[in-house]
Amino acid sequence: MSEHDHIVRLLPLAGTGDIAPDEIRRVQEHLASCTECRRVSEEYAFLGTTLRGLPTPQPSAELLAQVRVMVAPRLAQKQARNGDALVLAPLVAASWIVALATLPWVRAAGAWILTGWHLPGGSFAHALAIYSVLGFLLASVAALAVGRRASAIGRVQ
Amino acid sequence: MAPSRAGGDILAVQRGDPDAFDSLLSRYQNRLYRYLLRWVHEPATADDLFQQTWMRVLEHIHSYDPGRDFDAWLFAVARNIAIDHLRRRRPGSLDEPREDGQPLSAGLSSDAPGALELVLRSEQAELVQKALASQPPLFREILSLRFEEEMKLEEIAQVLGIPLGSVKSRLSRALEHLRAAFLRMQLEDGTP
Repeated sequence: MSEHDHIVRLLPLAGTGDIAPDEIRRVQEHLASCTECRRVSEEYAFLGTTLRGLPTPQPSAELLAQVRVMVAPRLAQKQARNGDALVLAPLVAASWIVALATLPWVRAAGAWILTGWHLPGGSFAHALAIYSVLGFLLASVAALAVGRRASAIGRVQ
Repeated sequence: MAPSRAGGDILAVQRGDPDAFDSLLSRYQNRLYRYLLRWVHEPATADDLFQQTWMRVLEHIHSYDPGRDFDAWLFAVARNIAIDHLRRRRPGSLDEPREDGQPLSAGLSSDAPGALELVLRSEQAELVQKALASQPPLFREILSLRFEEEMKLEEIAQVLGIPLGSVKSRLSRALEHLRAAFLRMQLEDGTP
């Protein structure tokens, strides 16, 4: 391939600077002596400039309003999900804190029930039972919160 | 870079903030609409694809990594929607023209008057726009991304999901085709 043919292949991207610096130098050297390539290079430069200056079509106000209406339920859904996370995270954390902090009292209460009421089973079994009730109550609160969120989403949609 | 400018809005949209969505929409509405219009030409279709794009953005924004270039991510979403649309409507319409080994401007006299400066600027712009419209969608797309969106080749590679070398060769061929179409239209138009 001759130097001229090689440069012709480089010309489209030379104008945008999308070829290697040594190739740009090579193109510039060639352009200094080749009228035809200089003309083609000017045409590419012209096309690039014109493309950059083409008018930008704009979406209509109605279209933008439609988009806002369309996305509103989905945004509400995301907000609700985010709200769920905000509600549930403290609930889960609180349940752990309460459970760990009350462990000695729950065990003591289990022992008292066992010895005072003469019930069969160890204090651990009673502690477990009380914890189950506590867990059930916390889960109920969480479920209620999620249910309220879900119905809020339903109302938005 | 876009991540730093739109980053806060994107995080807020991930949480469902309508004001942040409005801000994102305002920031990208013109560029995105122009990009889609370059794909499909008809404003009514571009409107439809524009709506679909924003819906898709909301569906998938939770998976967007704020460290990435949002422009590239957004245009890739729009691109997939435009391609799906064109494939449904005209299978095979995305194909690039075949290379026959001949320079695209073959047949045009090399010493034809190169007096582009003699034509009025507005007429020239109109011809370039016509020449652009006559190109296959993949060429229109890459020309729009490079010159209208002023994206770097690396960003274009992200949007298109192809290697940098392929971006270069596609852009080069798109420019060759555009130039050939432009010169042809100039001759048909009777412009010197």
